[in-house]
Amino acid sequence: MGKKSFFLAFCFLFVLALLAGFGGSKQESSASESTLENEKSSNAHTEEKSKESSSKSTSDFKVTLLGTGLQSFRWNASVIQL
Amino acid sequence: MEVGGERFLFDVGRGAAQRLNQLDIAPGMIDKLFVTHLHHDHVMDFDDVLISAAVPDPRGGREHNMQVWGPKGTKDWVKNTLKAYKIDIQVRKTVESASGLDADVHEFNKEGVVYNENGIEIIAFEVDHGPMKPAVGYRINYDGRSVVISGDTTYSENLIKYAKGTDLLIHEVISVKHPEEEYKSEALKNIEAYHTTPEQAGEVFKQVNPKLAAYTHIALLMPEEEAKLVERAQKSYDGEVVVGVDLMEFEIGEEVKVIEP
Repeated sequence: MGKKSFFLAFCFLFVLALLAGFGGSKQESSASESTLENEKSSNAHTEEKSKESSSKSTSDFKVTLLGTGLQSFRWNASVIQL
Repeated sequence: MEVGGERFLFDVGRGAAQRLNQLDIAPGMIDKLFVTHLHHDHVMDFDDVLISAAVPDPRGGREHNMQVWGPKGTKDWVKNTLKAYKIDIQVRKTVESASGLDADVHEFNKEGVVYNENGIEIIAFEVDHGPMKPAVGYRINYDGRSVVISGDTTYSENLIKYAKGTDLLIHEVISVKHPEEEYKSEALKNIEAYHTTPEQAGEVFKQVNPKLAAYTHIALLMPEEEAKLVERAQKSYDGEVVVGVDLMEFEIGEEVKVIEP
């Protein structure tokens, strides 16, 4: 009786330990997936920020030529800028 | 020009409204205009840029008066343009509930700072456009960087003074004949006299020493490849010279980046 109880208790604890182990590894896996996701997201964010800052650094002072006169000559020599 | 989150238009010549549309900027979104002088090729699209604000545009529009800066004569020019379109403007205001169809003029009589807001400083300086007086150029300073726009001028010591060390010098140029040829008419000789030849431009660039020099307002009576605009300037100037084309962009950072259209 004592041996049987001991055996049953051992099996019960073993199963519990297995379940706990499984759950733990699943948690770890999920945590590592989550970390990866965070890293990905963080990288994406950094890339986005870097794109933003790169675009900002090049676009806060911009000049566009609207009328240079050159095209005027090409389509009609009589229409030039003087 | 887009600087510090603000947008400025320098001169409003032929086709300006259409070019703005090509940049996906509704003409009605322009609310600050700086005029160099009152030759028609520099101001002829003012009415289009002004009154196009009446068109409801999802890209944006002008809810207040357009602000116009320019030398003596600008007030009369704006007043008379508004007078010419009086009926059109009146109808659009009353029937179409349009806004932004009037203009406030900030006319100046001497050179110096004409705009100074949000870290953007704009200096007007006299240039030499012969009989067309007054004529000015502009220097735009922002965050330790600058751009100088010559307007129409012949070789000008005053421009050199104001443009010294700028990041980007945008300068006009003319070539009515090959260097070895005679002038075909007295008129052409006179016209060239108050514009800048490529050789003169080279002298200006040498004195100013910009990070980049670019031609605009390119008045040619010959195909561009025959005019040799860059080579002629580089007889005296060993820096880079860019021949501007419509919609070419320049980004002014540590270096001046040229973006072809």
